[in-house]
Amino acid sequence: MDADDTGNRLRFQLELEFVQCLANPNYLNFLAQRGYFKDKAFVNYLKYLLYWKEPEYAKYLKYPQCLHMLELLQYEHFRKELVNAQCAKFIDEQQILHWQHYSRKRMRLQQALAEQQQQNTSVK
Amino acid sequence: MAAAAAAGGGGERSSTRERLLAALEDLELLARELIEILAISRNQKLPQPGEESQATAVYQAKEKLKSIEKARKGAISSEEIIKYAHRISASNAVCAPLTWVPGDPRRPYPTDLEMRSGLLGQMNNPSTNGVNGHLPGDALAAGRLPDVLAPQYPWQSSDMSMNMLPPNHSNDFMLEPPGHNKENEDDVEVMSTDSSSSSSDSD
Repeated sequence: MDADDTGNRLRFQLELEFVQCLANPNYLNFLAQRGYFKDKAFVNYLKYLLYWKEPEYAKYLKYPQCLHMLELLQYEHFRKELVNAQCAKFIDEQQILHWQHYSRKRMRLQQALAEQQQQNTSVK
Repeated sequence: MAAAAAAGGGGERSSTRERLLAALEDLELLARELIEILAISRNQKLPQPGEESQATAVYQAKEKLKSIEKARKGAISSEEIIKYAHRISASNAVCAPLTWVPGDPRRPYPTDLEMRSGLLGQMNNPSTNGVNGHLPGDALAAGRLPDVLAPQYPWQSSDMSMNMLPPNHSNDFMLEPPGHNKENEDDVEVMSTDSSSSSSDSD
């Protein structure tokens, strides 16, 4: 029983790592070019990994964007497109832009606040 | 005699008249009640405006009960939410660091270095002593890597439950899972394979 538990815990950690690796579009391109997405067993495994969407598992994810990638990977069309490096590059760019969205918004808010404070002090 | 008879007859006539009048009044009363009953029974077949609003109120109440049940099922403690928010924010996983500029190796996904540093990477490369390049630790020790590229083991956060287990599964992923693969190709936009630089502001 202990050996089973240890094995299962190890599998948990490995699957946790692997599912988050799917957030990396370059890694997806790597997998696509090596034909993993054409392997039926691998596609079934991707479907199995959808359990990470459940709250009791999702709370361990540091990179939650991987879940969106996992959902897209359920579509054959998406898997086929990932063979193209330009497709992966496009996804990468969009991900980075989205990632920067909140920090940009915060910077704009800080700038607006600083300008407002400047105006207030100049009025006084 | 006749007068007496007449008088007596008149008395009888008046009492008869009175009785008739009383009977007529009773009849009128009964007829009125009967008409009212008939009118009520006929009106009950048509929906009243009040009944429609009752049906709407019942429907809305049922919908509200459904959403209450749904909310109760998805209840999460605030402590867990805060813990998770800290995990994804402190590591810049979902929000870029304010000092990020193009050229910064940090990404919103595990980088090549992080992937190799993890358990998966260690399992595949048990002896990576600088074969394909430097071990992250070596480079750090040599002072060639900034702290941000120090080997981080994101999978081994301190609060990770070591008792967590994955769901049971058949070892054979060749078996067709229940529920077909998603082949809703109409829902997936075809990505342009042309190189389209989209570095515009996402706002």
